[in-house]
Amino acid sequence: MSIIVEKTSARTRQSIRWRKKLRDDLRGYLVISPWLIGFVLFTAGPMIASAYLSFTKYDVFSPPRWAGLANFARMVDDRLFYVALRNTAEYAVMAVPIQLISALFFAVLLNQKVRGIGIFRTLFYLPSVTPGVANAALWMFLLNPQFGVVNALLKAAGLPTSRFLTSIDTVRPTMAMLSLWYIGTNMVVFLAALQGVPDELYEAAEMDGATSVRKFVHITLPMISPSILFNFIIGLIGSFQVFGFVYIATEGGPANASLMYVLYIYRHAFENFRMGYASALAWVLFVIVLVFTMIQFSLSKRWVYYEGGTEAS
Amino acid sequence: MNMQGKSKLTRREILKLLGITAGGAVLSSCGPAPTPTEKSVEPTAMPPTEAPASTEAPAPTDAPSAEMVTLSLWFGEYGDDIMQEAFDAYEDQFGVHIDWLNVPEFWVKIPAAAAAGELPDVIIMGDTDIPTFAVKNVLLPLNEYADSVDLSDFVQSAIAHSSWAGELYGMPFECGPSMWVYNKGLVDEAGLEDPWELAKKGEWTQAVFDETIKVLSKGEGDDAQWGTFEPAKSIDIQAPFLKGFGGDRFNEDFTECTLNSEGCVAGYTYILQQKWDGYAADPSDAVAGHTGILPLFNAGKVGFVYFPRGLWPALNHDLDLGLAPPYVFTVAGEAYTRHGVNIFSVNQETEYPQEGWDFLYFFATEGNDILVKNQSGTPNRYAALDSPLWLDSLKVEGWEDPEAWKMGFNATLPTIAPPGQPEINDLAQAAYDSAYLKEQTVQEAFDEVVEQANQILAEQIG
Repeated sequence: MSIIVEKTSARTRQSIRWRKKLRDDLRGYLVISPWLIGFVLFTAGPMIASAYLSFTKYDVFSPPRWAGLANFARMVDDRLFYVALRNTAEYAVMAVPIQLISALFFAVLLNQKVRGIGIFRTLFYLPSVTPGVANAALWMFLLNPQFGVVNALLKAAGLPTSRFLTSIDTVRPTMAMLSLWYIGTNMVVFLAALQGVPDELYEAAEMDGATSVRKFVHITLPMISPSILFNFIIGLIGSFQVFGFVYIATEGGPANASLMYVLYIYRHAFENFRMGYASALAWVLFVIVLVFTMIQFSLSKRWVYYEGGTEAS
Repeated sequence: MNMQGKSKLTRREILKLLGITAGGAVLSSCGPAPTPTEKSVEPTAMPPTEAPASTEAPAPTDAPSAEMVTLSLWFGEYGDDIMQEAFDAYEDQFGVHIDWLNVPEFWVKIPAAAAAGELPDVIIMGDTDIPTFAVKNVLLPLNEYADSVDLSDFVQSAIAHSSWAGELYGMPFECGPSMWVYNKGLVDEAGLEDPWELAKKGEWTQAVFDETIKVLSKGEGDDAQWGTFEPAKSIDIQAPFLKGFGGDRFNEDFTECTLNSEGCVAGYTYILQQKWDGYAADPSDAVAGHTGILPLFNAGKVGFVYFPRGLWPALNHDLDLGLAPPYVFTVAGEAYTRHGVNIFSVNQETEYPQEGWDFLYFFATEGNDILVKNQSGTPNRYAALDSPLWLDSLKVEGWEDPEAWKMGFNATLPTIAPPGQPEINDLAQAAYDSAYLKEQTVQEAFDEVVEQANQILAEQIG
C-alpha cells in the first residue's frame, strides 16, 4: 500500500511540476505574444508567401500561376540582373570599409574625456536620424554639377570639380561617400565597445613602453573586434539593400550606373507588375547575403576575440 | 506584505498583468477594418438633372435614385484647388459627390489597391497606362456608354490613347502636344531667323533645326551653351523622332517590337549624333530625371527644349521665350510629335458605372474648360482650340501663338504603349545608353532588346 501511495505521490508531483512548467511557459508566450504575432504577420508570413510567389507568375491583379523555376531561369538571361548585382557589389565593397573606418575614427574621438563631449556625441549622431528622402533631395542639389554648393566651394578653393551623381564613373563612389551620413549607429556601437576596454590593459602596456599605435593595434582592436564584426555584417546587409537614395536621387542612372539590386526588384514588382519575378530576385539576394554572412562568421573565428572565451554562434 | 501591512504585487503577477494587457491590445487592434466612407448614401439629394453624354435614362442601381451617390476618385499632378472647382461644378450639375484624393505616383499604388479591393470608382491614368490596366481587367469598358455621344471633335490621338483593342477605357480630360520651346534671345543673338516665322512660311524643317542647334552650340565649361536637349529617354517620347525616319516602336497589332528596324536605328542615331557632336546637353548634366533639363534651359544655356505644356510653370519666364511646332522630318516629309494625355477611367468593380461615365464625359468637356481657364491644361477638342477660354489663356504670357498650337495638334500621332512597355522601356534605355557610350553600335544594342521585348509582349498580350 505504501508503495502504491509512493508511486501515486511521485506521479502527482510530476504532474504538478509539469502543469507548473506549462503555466510558466504559457505566461512567457503571453508576454512575448505581441512581438510573436507581429513577427508571424509581418516577417515570417510575408517571407513564406514570397517564397511561394517566387515560383509563380503573379501580376497582383490575377491569382498566381505556378511557373516552377521559370523566374530563376529568366535571371540567367536578364542583362540588367547582372548590372544591378555588379553595381550593388561595387557599392558595398566601397561603402562598408569607409563606414567602418570612419565610424571607428569618430568613436575614438568621442571617447575622449573633454568638456562638452556629450554635445559632440549628439551632434555627430544627429545626421543618422534625418529622413532618407530629405537627405537624398538635399544631396541632389548640393551635388549638382552646375549649380551645387559643393562644386562652387571646390572651384573657389581652386580644386577640380566633379559630376558626382551625374556621371557613370563617379555616381557609385559618390554614393559610397554619402553613406557616411548614416554611420551614427555604427559609431555608437564602437563607442560602447571602446568604453568596455579595461584600463588596466592600457596601463600594463604603458608600463611595458607601448606606443599609442601599438596599444590601439594590440589592445583596442582585439578588444572591440566583436563590435567590428557586428558593424561589418550589419553594414554589408545594409549596403546590399540600398534603395531610398537611388530611388530619389538617381533613379538608377545615369546609364544604369546606379541601378541597385533592390531598386531593380522594386521596378519589377510595382512598375512591371512581375511580383513573382521580383520575389525570386529577393530570394536570390537573401541567399547571397546569407552566404556572405556565414562566410564572415566562419572567418571571424580567426580574428574576433571574445573576452568570455566563447565564440560567436 | 509591505510596511503598511498591505499586500504587494509580486513580479510574477506584474508580468501576468502586462502580458494580458499587451495581448488585449493586440487583439483589439486586429479588429475589422473600418467601413469605407467613400460611398455614403444620404437620405435627401437631387437626382442628376442633366446627362449630356447619354440619351438613355440611368440604369437602375441598388441605391434609390433619390439618394446622393458618392464617387471616390484618385488624381495626381494637378492643383487641388483647380480640381476642386471642377468637382464642385460637377456636383452642382449632377448631384453626385466626389470624394477625391491626390495620389502621387498612382501607377504603383494601383496594384496594391486592386489586390485589396480598395480601388476608387474613378482613377486617373497617364497616356501610357490604359493598355496595361485594360488587359488586367481593372478598367470598365466604355463603348456602350460612348455610343450615345459624338467623340469626333475630341483630339483623335488622345482618344486612341484612351483605348485599347477597339474599346474605349477612359476619357482624355487634358492633352497637349510636345512642342519646341526656344530661347529667342539666343536665336536672335546668333543672327538666326525665328523658328516660328519659318514655320508660318512652311520652312521649319529638320535641316533648318539641325543647322540652328549647331550654330547655338558653343563654349566649354561654365561658358558652355547647347543648341538643344535630347528628348527624354522613353520610347514613347522618342517615338516621333523614330517615326520621322520611317521607323516605329511596334508593328500595328503590337505583337512585335521593331526598335531595331532601319528607321528606328536611323532615328536613334540622329538623336545620339546630336549628343556626340555636343549639340545636345545630356540631361544627366543637371539633376537626374525628365525635368532635370530645366535648370540649364532656365539659366539661358540651352536653345531648344521639347516639352508638353504641363511643364510650362517650371520654365524661367524672364527669358524671351518662343514656341515652335515640330519641324518637318526629311525622310517622312511630315512633322510628328506626341501628346501628353491625362485620362480618367472607371474602375471595373464600381457600383456606379453610369455615374462614372457621366463624370468622365463631364470632365472631358466642362472640366477641360475649367483647366484651360486656369492655365492648367490644353484643349482636348479641336473646336476648343478657337475658344475664347483658350485664346485668353494664351494671352496671359503672350509668347504662345495659337496657330503654333494648332500646327502642333495636327502633327500629333498616337504613341500607344502596349502592356509591358515599362519593362521594354527599361531594356530600350539600357540599349540607348550602351549605344551612347559606344559600348555597342545602335543596331547591336537594339537587336538585343527586340528578342526580350517580343517575349514580354507575348506574355502580356498573349
